[in-house]
Amino acid sequence: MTTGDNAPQAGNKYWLPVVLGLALVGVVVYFLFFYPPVTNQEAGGTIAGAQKADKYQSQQLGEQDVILQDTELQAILQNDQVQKLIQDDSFQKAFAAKEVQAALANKDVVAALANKDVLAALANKDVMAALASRDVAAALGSRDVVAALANKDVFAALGSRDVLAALANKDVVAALASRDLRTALGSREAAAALGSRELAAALASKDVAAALANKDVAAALAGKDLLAALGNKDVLAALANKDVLAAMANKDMLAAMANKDLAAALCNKDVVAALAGRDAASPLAGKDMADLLASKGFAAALSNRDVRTALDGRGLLAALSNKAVLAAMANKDLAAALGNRDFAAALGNRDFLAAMANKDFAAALANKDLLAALGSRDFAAALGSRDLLSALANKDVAAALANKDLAAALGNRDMAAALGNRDFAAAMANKDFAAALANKDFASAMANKDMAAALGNRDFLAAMANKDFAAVMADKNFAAAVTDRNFAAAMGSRDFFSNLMSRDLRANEGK
Amino acid sequence: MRNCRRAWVAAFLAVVVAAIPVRGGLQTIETDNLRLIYFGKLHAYIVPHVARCLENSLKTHREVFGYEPTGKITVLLHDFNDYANASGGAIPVNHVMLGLAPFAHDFETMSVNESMNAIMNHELVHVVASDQAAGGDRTSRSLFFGKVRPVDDNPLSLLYGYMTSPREYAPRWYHEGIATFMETWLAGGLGRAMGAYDEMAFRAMVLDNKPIFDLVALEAAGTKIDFLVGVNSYLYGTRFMSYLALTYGPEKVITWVKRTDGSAAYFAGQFRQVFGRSVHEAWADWIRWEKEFQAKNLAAIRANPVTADRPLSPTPLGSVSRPGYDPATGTLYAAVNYPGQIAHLAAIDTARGTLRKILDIKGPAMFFVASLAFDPAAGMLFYTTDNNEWRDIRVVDVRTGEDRTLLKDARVGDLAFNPADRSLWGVRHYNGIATLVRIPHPWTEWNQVLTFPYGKDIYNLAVSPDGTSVCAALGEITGRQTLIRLDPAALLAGGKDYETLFDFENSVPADFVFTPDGRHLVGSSYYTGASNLFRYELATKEMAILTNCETGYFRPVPLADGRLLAMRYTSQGFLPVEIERPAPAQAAAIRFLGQEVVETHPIVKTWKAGSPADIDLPALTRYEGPFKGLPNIRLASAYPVVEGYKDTAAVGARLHFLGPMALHNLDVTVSYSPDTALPTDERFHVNAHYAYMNWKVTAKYNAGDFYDLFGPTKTSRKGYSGAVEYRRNLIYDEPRTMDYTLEVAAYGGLDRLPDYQNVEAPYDRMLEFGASWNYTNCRSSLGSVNYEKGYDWDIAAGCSVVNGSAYPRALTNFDVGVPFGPAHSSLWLRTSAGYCYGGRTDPFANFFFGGFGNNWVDHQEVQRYREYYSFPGVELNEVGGKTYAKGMVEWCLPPLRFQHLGATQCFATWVRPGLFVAALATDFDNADFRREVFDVGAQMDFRIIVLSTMNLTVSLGYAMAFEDGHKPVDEIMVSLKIF
Repeated sequence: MTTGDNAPQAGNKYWLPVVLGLALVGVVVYFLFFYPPVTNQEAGGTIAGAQKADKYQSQQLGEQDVILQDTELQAILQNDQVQKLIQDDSFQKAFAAKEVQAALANKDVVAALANKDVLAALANKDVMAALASRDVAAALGSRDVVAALANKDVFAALGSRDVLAALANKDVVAALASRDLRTALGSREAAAALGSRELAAALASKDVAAALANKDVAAALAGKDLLAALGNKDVLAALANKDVLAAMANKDMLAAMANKDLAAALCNKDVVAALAGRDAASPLAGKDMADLLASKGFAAALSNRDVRTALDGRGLLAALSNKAVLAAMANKDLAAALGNRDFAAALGNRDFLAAMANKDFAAALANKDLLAALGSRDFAAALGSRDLLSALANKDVAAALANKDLAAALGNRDMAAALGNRDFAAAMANKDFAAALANKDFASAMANKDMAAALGNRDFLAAMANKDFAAVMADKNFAAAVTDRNFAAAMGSRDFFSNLMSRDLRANEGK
Repeated sequence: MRNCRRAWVAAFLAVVVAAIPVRGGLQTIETDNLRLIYFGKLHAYIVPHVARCLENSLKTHREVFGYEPTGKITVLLHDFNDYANASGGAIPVNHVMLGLAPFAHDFETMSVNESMNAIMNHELVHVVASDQAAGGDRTSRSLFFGKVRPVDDNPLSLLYGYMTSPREYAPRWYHEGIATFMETWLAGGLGRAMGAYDEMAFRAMVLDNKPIFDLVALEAAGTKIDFLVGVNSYLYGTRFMSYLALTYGPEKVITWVKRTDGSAAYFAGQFRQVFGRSVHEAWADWIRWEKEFQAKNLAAIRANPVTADRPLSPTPLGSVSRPGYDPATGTLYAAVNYPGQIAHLAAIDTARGTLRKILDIKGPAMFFVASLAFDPAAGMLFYTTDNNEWRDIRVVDVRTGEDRTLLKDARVGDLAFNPADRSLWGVRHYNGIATLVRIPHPWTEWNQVLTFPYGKDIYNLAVSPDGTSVCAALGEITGRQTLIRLDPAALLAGGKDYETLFDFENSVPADFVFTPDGRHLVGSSYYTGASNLFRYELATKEMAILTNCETGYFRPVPLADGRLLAMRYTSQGFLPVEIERPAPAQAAAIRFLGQEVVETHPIVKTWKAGSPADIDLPALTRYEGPFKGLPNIRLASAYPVVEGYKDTAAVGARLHFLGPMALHNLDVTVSYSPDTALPTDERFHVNAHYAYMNWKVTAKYNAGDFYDLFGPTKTSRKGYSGAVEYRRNLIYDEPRTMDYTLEVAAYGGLDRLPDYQNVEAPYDRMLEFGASWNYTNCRSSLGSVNYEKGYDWDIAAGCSVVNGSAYPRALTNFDVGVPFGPAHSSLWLRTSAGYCYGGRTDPFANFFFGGFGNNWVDHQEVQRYREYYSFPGVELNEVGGKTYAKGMVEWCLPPLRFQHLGATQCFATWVRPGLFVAALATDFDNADFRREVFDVGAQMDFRIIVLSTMNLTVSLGYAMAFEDGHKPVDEIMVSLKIF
């Protein structure tokens, strides 16, 4: 009740019943719709026609009150693929193995497993599918693999996303089915290798994965030598090179890798060191090199100690760095030549290597006739000659060989046979003759079939071996004369040479 | 959740299984109060939280009960069950066994927030109730070096057990009642003291005019024959505690349970001291009050029209699963479990109201029995078995009966069938985490779809008829429950989202299923306090109540024509009913007893436990690392004993050494016979047993036996012996198990054969090798006292080496039984045959038979007449032979139950009669020595419960034996078995 100016007017006599009436309505409304009061609850969903029961509840816990750890591992364990793995007998056996138990007790290993990236990677469905495969399980059942896994380096490697990505690749997984590979993985060297970042990166490459899936490769990988190689940091460094990796992806290369001899050769520490050198990196890349490595001949060559020694030399590597040489090496004829012991031995010769390194010679090698020549047995045998090799090392000879006619000539059987002749070889080694050969006319003349026939003549060859004659041949004028067909024909006759061989004549010519 | 003995057996098994290296070995974390043992990396994620929960709960129990643990509480964390399971106690040491899995939500029997927190709040009360000691207990514990665990081979241990922990020997309802009462208030009102299921159970009893059990009847019969069996201990205990809290105040309830100086030792004595009247009187008061309270609730419900329904079965079915329905035949399929019948799949003809059994279910769960899904087009009924362990999924063709396993130990339940692509959807529980899975046709593997973070539990799945939606209930750490919908296509593409349809706060949205047109969801909820059916319209997102039930409706099956099939709760179990086209209804709320308590006594609000996150675990941690059992072996108790040795008495002591979780167990009894009639070299007695996982080592010297004081059967023997036994389980697929045992024993100084007391040993040294194999698969129904069907097969071989000669022998026993006649009645055929090698008159080369075998006071198997070496009627070991064959037909009659025979401290619970007729032929390969004997007999066994936990069995037996050329002989057997 208020007083003063705000007091209700004496004339409004209905205010009290109105107020009371409103209060009554309010009370009725309250009891109809709001009683009994809601206690300590947020209003949840309401349902018409249903009176909600009174139930005291004061929330004790929220999500922040439950502190868990390592929930990522639990998330992985819920995966059906992981469950299959866990229930697999081989996997169980593997995990029961003392080595793995010891590994799991290792803090570094646990830390690796606890790594978020590792776990996130492991949670990947593809990775899981891989891990769940019977092949992997069988692999894990192998003592060798278990021993590998027990190695902390290996486990550290497993922390690498690259490795995990590799494991997700079905080819890799299929590879693990190979007993040879599993054996390989169990070796100390493999374990150490697997710990390397470079190898990890390599393994992540799809190409390598495809390679590993090849059973021959797997068998090769099981070889002791290769394993030892994998333990070599130089090799690993090489494997880090993306060109090398690309090369390794080539199927011919892969087939080559399956060759035991090659594998053994590649494992030789000299070869390894050579291949690992910076110089080796570029040449080793590319299809050409791949083709080379794929050739049986090369593999056989590499099995030769001399060749391997040669590979250590900068010479060969320099040669190999020349695309033309590589291209040449890829030629099947040359490749066949490589299978020849003599040729292989030649590759071990510094001079020959020097020749190979010469750009002219390299260019010459582009000539298929030359290549054919090089592929011939005779030539290969000739390469056994120090003289020839030293000749070939001569830059003039090399330049001469760039002459396509000469190169073509070399393809001639007679010529090839000539090259096998000691005298001719000696002639070739003579610097004058080499200079002669450098003359393009002379070189063209040599290409003449008659000349070639001449070269088949022993006496001619003997003459050619004579240094005086060689000096004559080096003369420009003689060289020009020799271009005359008739002269060449004459030289090709037997009598000419017989006469040539007479001392008196030689003595008179020289004057 | 409390059964000490079973818990210890389970702990033993748990640790045996834990020996599998793949689990990563046992690890432990210790504080001053806790030793938490867990399985390595597998469970490490939750270990700190579990430890925090224990410390957090303990903090509140300290404040409320004034409790200080007398020793570390050893907790074993495991994942051996697909649903939450735990037990706790304090005898002989404080321990809790804790399963990681989420709780089951069926019928909202448990309202919980996060499960580890809820379990700790509950289980620690069991530890408090038995471990807390007053002056007398403390003195006894000092005297006996710890809390004594009663053992059956020395019954005096029962007396010592009571002296050291008197409150342990209270009824189960007492222990469970206080635990559920406290679990509720520690969780801020979320627990069984505020349970809608509890309200419904008592409301139904009042409605059906079913007597509410009194104190003795509850323990004698209520926990045995009712369809809820042991759950009644929880229901009644919770109810009584809440009633006392309401009537006298919660503080008085605490004072009753607390064991402090000046309090009475026995729980009933303390009750009188606190409440001023006997517990029987208060119980009777409560029953009267309960009837009035429920009558008011029924009146509140009846203020609105009560839903009418038509029963589809003449009798209730006990516990039931979610059903499947075949609209073509009008058949309802469900898994059912009720007393007197082995749990089974049933087909209910909804038109005729008849029930047909399809097949038995192995490992039924208490409430939900099994998870079911149905493909009506193909008539395939999918169901789970081993529902209390790791669930298998099986399928039965309801038309042909062909039944096969789809997935073993899949751990998947909450099955729902997708008719669009014939896949099954389910929820998998693994390591405490729930994952939604899909099992594509032909159901040979499950695929992960969506894993929920720990604490979020998805359950009660349903798939829409067109397969484009999955609906489910989702529970959260806070206790909040919501109805959600998921898009299967999006999930299978890697999506993780779901839509919340309705927030039920703390009420479970149970069994929401799609209507045949896919436009609605129909399910049940205790929204009003009683469980009614609700319909949710997907288009408008509106929820409507469809029924008003006096007890509760559950598990709806909406039909195409608008009718609803459902399960209605009754005091005898669930009854399938049909509701004719329900329309939106009105329903008033009921009152909860728990709500009465909190409104009248707000002090219970102050008992809310804090946050486990506030516990500074690193500061409390004393050790973290591999669990070492051997260095933790301690003397658990030592007490005086009395034994019999031949015809004399001996006094001595028994020492019990124990490692955590009973991994290592060593008992040594040493005694001395003062009787000078005994030769000096026979007066000193030693009996030592050591058990570790699969191994048992025994060493004896003139070993005595308590029960030899009460002849005629004597097990004490002169001489020394040492034995090593190895036992290994090959199949553990309860109830189907297979195991083998290998044993080697050496004896010296013998005067009688070790196994045959009346046969002199011609030589005093003997070496024995033995191997046995057992395969058993026996089952019983709710309320049984015997196995009622199954088979049990033993093969045993042994060899005694005596005086340079070897006497190999072999025998086999095979028993098979089937239900026969009325409920709990079964007929068994028990057969046995054996062969010994050696001279016919050589005692080492013979089997011996005779007698019932029970001692006047005994601790071994009561029904020893079933053993191969028994033959009631003839004297012990009277009939011998190198070879033998024996057969017995036994009829196990139904037990007669007593509800009011005795008092709280000691009462009879049942009597079990058995009739048998047997035939025995020995040396049947040699006419000169052959004997053929027959007998017929009966035995009655009376079970008596003492101090709530100790079983005594009084057995009366009579048999008459017949043999050609001999006068009939008979035997009367009277025996009291302790424990």
